[in-house]
Amino acid sequence: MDIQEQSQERNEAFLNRVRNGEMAALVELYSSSQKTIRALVTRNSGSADEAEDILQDSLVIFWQRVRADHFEARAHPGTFLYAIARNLWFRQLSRKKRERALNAADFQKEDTSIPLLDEISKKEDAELVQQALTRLSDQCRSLLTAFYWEELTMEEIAVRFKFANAQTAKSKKYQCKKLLKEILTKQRVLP
Amino acid sequence: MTNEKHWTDDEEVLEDYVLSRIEDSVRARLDAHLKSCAQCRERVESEAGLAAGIRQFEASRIKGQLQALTNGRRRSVPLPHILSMAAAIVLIVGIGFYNRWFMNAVPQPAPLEIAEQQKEVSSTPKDTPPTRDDDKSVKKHEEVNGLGESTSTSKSRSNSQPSTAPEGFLADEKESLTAAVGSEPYELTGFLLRKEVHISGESESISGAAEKSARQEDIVVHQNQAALKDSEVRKTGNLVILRGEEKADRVAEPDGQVRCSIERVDSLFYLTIFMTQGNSLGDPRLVRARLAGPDSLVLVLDKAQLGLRLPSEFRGQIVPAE
Repeated sequence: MDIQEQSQERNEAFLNRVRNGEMAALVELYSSSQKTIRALVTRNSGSADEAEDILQDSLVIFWQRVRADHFEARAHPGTFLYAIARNLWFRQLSRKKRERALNAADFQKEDTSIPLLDEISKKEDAELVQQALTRLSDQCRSLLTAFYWEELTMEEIAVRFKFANAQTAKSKKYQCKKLLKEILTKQRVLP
Repeated sequence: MTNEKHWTDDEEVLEDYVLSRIEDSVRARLDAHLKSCAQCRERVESEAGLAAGIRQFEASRIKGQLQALTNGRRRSVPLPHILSMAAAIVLIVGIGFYNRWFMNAVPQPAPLEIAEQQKEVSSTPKDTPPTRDDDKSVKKHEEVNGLGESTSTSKSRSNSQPSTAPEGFLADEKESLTAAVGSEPYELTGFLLRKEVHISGESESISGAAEKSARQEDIVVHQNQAALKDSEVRKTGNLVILRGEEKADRVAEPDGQVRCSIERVDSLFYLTIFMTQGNSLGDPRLVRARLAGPDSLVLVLDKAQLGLRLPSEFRGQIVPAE
């Protein structure tokens, strides 16, 4: 086996560890990427703390993308993580700029607060959904996150949760979602 | 609400819509309906809110675990591994931050002649993509920023320039490099160039760090795409773009040809050059790349220059400065 194949095999083995939910793999990637991502952020108007946040957020996205099978071993995991971090950081910078611009505009135009209120409202709703999730069973919570976060198909969910088939998985997901909606309805988040 | 049928009544379709699992053509149809159906919009918003909340919940959970595991390592930086002999070079050219990347290629003019591009390139990008150094077969890992820059040269920074971004990237990202080529300055929007030197202690053959090269199936082989006019520059012949199925035993350059692969991964454009250390062209660790026109790159070794015309799918990513 040549070096290239060895490298690809190593990448694949690493990704499999992530797919299997091995958090230690993520920690390894954290350690090996910390320096470059910190450099990315600090060289572009960011602080060390912001760099750390970006690194962690990027790792979470990386985790999700790999587990959702949206990443193949064609690129180096570190490179992929870097692309995510870069995207996140520049998006954050852009948001900061917009906020600054909005603050300046506030003095001139009063009705700009409506989109902000919408955003705040959505954020609050998302927080309520998170609270509601804590009231679900572990299995329901895992099933819904497998569907919405990992974006697994019903077939994949059936395998992971050892359901008889995709139809059963679908039915279980429906029940869990219904339960969540009921909780949220009581909290008046959902109509 | 009447008995009218709405697509949002179908839970699966609603989920697929929110999770972006439907084709664009179908989405367009669904969107058209949404414009005239307030109730449907409300359902979509509700489903999207649910999905967002679940995603945030899981993201927070993972982040919490990660923070617990990395607590105390916040400032640790891994030391580079120590080296030994053979080398592989990966030039990673990020040309992705440009809208045309995701669109059909726009016909581009022919590449400029390479002889006009003998001048040194003047600047480097601001940041450098990451490398993994947990590769045990890699004893040394050097990372060098920039166009026209080698391990032994000093670094200079380019001024940031705004770029237009593809989907998923922000339009106002500032990441670019202006490369002076000949008398014509060209700006490569969103350009990143990374050179990795991977050293293996036991083998002189070079490969590795090729990332996706073995998978690339659709690269067109180009030979002698750019002629070299400077007689003092050794005309080394071809720069051969490897096809996906070619293996490492074709990596060396016994016939004076240098193998490389080109590929696109996400927003990055990867150019990987395969060379052996001690080859007749020069130290692979000192290879430089510079922009030679809208669709051409020149690789500069200490004993050779190699012109590379980008395959059509990669053209249009390089834009001349206004």
